[in-house]
Amino acid sequence: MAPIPVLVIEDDPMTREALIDKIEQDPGLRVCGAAGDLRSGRQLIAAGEARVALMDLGLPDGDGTELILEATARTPPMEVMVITVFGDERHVVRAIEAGATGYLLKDAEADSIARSIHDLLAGGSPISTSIARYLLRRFRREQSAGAGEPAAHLTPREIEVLEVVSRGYSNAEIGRLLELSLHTVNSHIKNIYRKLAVRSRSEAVFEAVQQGLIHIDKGP
Amino acid sequence: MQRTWFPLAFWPGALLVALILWYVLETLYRLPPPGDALQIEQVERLVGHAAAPAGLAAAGWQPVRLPEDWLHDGIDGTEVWYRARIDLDVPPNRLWAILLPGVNLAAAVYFNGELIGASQHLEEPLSQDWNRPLLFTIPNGHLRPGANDLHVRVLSYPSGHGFMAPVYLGPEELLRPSFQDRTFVQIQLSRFITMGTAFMSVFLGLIWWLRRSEAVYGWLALSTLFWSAHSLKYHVSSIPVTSFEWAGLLFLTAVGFSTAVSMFMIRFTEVRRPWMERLLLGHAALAIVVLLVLTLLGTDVMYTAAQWFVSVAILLAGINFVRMAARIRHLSETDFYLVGAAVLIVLVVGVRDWVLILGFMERSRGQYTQYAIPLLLGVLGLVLVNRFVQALRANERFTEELTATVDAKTRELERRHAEIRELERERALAEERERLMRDMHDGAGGHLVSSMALLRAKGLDDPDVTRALREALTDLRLMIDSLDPVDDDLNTVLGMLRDRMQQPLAASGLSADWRLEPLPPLRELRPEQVLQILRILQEALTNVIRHAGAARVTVTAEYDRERNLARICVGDDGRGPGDGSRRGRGLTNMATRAERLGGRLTLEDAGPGTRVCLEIPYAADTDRA
Repeated sequence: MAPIPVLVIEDDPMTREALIDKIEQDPGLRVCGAAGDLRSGRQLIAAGEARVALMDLGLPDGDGTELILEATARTPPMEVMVITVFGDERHVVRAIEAGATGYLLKDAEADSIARSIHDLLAGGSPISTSIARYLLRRFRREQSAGAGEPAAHLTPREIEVLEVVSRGYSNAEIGRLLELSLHTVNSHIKNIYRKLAVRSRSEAVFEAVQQGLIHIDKGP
Repeated sequence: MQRTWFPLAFWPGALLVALILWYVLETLYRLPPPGDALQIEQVERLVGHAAAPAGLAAAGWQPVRLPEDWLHDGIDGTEVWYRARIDLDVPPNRLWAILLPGVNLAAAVYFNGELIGASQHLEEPLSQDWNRPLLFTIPNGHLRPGANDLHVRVLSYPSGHGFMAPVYLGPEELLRPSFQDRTFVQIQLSRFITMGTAFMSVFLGLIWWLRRSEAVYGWLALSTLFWSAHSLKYHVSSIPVTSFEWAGLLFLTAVGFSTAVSMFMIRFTEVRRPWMERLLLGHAALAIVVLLVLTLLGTDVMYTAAQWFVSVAILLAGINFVRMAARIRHLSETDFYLVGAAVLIVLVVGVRDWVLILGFMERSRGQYTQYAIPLLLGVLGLVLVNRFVQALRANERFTEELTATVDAKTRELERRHAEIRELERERALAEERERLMRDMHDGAGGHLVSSMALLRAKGLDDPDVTRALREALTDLRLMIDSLDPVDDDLNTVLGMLRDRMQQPLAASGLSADWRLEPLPPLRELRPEQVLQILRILQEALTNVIRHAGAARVTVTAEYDRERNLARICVGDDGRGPGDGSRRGRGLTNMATRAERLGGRLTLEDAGPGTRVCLEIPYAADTDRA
């Protein structure tokens, strides 16, 4: 099987090089392109070769979330992982809402990086206690505010998964606790991420229509 | 409480009460004189004027039987003389007296031509003694054995129509108790009633004055005032005007009283009847004008007119009573029956008295209305005062409820404010955290990652330097985590620790076993405390990785119910603590941090291995769920 093409967009050259180095250590992965800014990153995404893109959000010439939108809008969509120093929930959730389905710590070890990429392609997304708590808090706030749309239509099961994650259990433990396979737990999390992205996108469209940036053709 | 009429059983009951009262009064009025006293019924009468018996004409005397009512015998004068001859076998050896139980209006008594007693005023304004028993003692020596002549001079005003009840002659000690009893019932009791109603009138008037919107109090005050004035006729003997004028004024107070009572009854139902009110007030105004004019003119027509006005006023009062009984809705059961019974009694007694006043009954039998009216006024006053008190109570209850509501709202508001303050605090914290994170992400954090990459790229991958850098990065991450709102949840803190330590543990090749029992919430868990907890446990885990030479690390969390504390332990299967000289500084740091938390750090030899435990006590009142 041919190695999976991976794109790295990170503005710090040292960090970028280290990441490329670590990725290349896995025989199943291949770095097909690397960029240090928004402009060249956009060209690489447009080239469409990569299946997975690792992206930093803070690029010198703009916000990386734009690139996430472009990457996930392609057919077939690229999987996007945001690379972050702290893995803090605000950073990660912002990326998830743009369409990312995973995150990587910038100083992660080579095997950890490789495992995460493979997991992601297999349908699983990483999540942390902080992220789960953040999502739950937001969900409950929106629910109690009665804002019509209850937080991206999460199913009771998905909320349950978030609750258990927020209490500090690992995915394997969650599987045991909720009597789910590890794979199912992971795909629940990925689904939650996708729902968040869909919702934020529809909100963005709504917002754009409201502001007159997009005109919807009513058709014949 | 919808009531259309009194229940059937009420009528016979109330009627019975009225009749019993009537009977009692009748009995009181007919106090039989002591058996030994002489009742004088057979007399002779002469219509005509004389200053003393000596001046009386010898002819024209007619035999009559007492009691006599001038109205019936067509006597239209102002002065009538009665005489009787009393034969005594033996002259009395005790003090004797003569009792006149009923004389209208004033009288003078002569024995054997000599005056022995009289009403106070025998000239206009005449003494008003029609309701007052008169007792005169006969000085010793006035009564002789054999025939004695008794003369009684009775004075009245034109159309006043006097009357004369049978008189009693006998020992003073026999007659006086009877006289005192009648005086008490007819004069003293009546005086007391006048004062009582006057006081009540002032009281109700004050209530009305303070609450003008409640006209019922005003009308009842006016009713009591009119009655108070009208009832003077029963016990006031000396009057400031002539008997005729006095009579006119009394008729006026009677019309006023009836009208005011009618107005009260209308207003009391709380359903106004404008045309009836206009009729009542119009009638009253007409009566005042007509009666005043006729009284001042001194014409006898006044008497007839007054009878008509009073009759109409009483009739209207009856109609309004019936209407009130049918309409009233806001009275309690008890109040309703009390008022109903009192009004019925007044009506029965009032009609009886009115029949008597009109001359269809023997007028010397006395009037009973004076005893029934205060009963009614008292009941009405009671009901009104009760209603007033109820209103006050309702008001108090309302105020209490209002206060309670306001208090609840205030508490609610305070709670909201506290919530808002808390939210604002959280928001400020979140903003601060975000700013810090952005800065560290782009600054220190990024530099640390970059530095590690640089070392690696240059082949200077010294494990100690890399580790130091990595630890710095980990500590930064713990600081950021500690700023996360954890909602007092220790489990979340342990979850964070686990997220952060997973990679270093995996990298070190240690197998990690997390056995975390749910811990109860720790109140007031603030970011600095979270950071201390995270640092202590991170340090313990780092120690295991670095120094223990262990293959396995176990993290446990449990709630010690007995000691009410959370215990979080990091255990390994490596070298025991005895060998851990290099741990010294780290442990001291950890212990200090634990103390700052209010907790305690323990180190034990788990043989093999070491176990470091952090104990965090809960406040005494923490829910031990």
